[in-house]
Amino acid sequence: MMTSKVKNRFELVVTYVLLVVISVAFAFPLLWVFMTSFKTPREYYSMPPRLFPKQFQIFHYKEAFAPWTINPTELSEATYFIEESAGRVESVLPNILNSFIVVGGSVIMSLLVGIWAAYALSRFKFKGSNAWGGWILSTRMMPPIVLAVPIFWMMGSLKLAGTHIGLILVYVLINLPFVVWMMRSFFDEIPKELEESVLVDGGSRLTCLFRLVLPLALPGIVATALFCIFLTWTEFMFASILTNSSSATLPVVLSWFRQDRGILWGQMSAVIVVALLPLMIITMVLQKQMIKGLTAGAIK
Amino acid sequence: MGQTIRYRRNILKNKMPFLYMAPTILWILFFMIYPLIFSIVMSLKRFKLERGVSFWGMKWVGLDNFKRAFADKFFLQSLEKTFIILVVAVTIEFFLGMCIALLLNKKGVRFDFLWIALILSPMMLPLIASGNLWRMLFDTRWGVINAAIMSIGLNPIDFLGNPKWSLIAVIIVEIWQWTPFVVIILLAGLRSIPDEPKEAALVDGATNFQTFRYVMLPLMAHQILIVLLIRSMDVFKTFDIVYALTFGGPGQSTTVVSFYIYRQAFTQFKLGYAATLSWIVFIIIYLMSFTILKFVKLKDVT
Repeated sequence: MMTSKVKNRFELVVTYVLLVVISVAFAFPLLWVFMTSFKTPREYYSMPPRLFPKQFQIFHYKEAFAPWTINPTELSEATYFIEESAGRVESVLPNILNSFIVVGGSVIMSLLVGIWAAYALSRFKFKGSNAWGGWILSTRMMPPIVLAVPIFWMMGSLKLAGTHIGLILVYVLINLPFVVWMMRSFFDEIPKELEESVLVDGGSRLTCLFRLVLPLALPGIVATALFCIFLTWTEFMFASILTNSSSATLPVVLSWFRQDRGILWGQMSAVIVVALLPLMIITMVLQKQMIKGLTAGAIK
Repeated sequence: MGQTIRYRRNILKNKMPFLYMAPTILWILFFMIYPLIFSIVMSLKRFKLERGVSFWGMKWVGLDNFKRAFADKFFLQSLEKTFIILVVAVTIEFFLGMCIALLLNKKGVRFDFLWIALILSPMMLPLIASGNLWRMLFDTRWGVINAAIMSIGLNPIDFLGNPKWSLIAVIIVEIWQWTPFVVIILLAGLRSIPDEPKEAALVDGATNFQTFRYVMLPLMAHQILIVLLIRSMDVFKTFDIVYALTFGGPGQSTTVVSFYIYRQAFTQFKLGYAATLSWIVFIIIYLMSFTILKFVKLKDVT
């Protein structure tokens, strides 16, 4: 009896040790990039590297977002900084704005387009309703490169290449299967009896939807919107072919950091940290719904 | 009374569900089906983005593009790289993910939300950012990974400059990026298993491993199938990480298939050829998922 207790205790200790090692291994790169964004170049160009900066410098954030606030005499190492960043001194603020426009526009539009189908799939039993649902979901399986080639030409001939609208139209397509499937499952949770009473009293379907179902499904709508933000905020392939230097979104800017001369680690880390923030907040707010979205159709 | 019920049934059976479905269906038709059809047309033409050549001016070449693709050494190589990543990365992701999910599901483990949050943290990173980030970690002169390698007395490894190592570097990043996804789906599967069969097996004298192998594994077959299917299809989408980490190099050593098609289309502007290649990839993915589904279903029965 005693030995099995000792054995259990031992097993639990091993489990915890393994969990600590694994968690650290997975979280370490993020911690590293966070710390690098506060280091001076002398610190990250040194061997052996150290995790924590001697002193937290916000210089790289200034450099990435508001280069005009940099006073060359402000820091003793400023000349080194400036030289290092000679490759890119433009602020990424306009790009963040681009990202906001494209992501915001596409999320609103995909909700407007998709919510109807979600409602129909949840409430109406019609011929082939399951097949239609499956077909909508299957669109997410399409490898983006297959669509990228013709869409590049299409947007070019519609004169939409390089505009926000072109990218928004594509992102709505990316969001749609998730909007339809997530909203459908949220609608399913709302009891049908409520609507039936409205219908019997002579209300129409639209009254039901707008007065009753949508207000009740509001938390679901928020969760779906946040999940769509998660998808589109990070999208790179379509962004890279459908934007130009003035309409580039944040992931495109991140791809510019791959240049042959100079690596600009500090500045790059600062941009990565800022690109990460919205996703971090979203993940914290809705862990459960995130998993629902990621596994849409998988756990059913 | 009876009349009310009939009345209710009539309005509940809406005659126009397709009106509600229409916006979504039209969107998919216009932005996915139409481009796909257009892509077939492109693949049958010598479709190159050049000055002064209009869409109608481009010559039909029949199946020439397809013939060219199967003789294209670089394309076949890029497929090979993709399959290497598929086999190595997905296998490791699956076993690692299963181990982590089992650890998290162990009885008596506390603070699971903390472990889950830490393990899932790579998922929050945009793929293009994680490529950049790992380029920093892999750096030969100042990267922390090489610092660790040197501290145990080995020579630094030029992960991103040496064609022997670059694919391994891509695989490492893929594993780091996607294992968390495998973990959450498998964990959801493990948690959906009721306790009774497990306990019954243990009482009957089965070892932990036997319980896992013969009781739990079959009960979560559905999640396992889904995770393998999604991950296998996703490997063909590998693009952002390669773009930021190695840009397909050095040489062609990490040019995976999505990246090769992208380069054909958007740096060489051979749109027709790229469309052809993307259709070949699409067919491969389709056949692959079909096989996985068939294979696993057969196994379920036996």
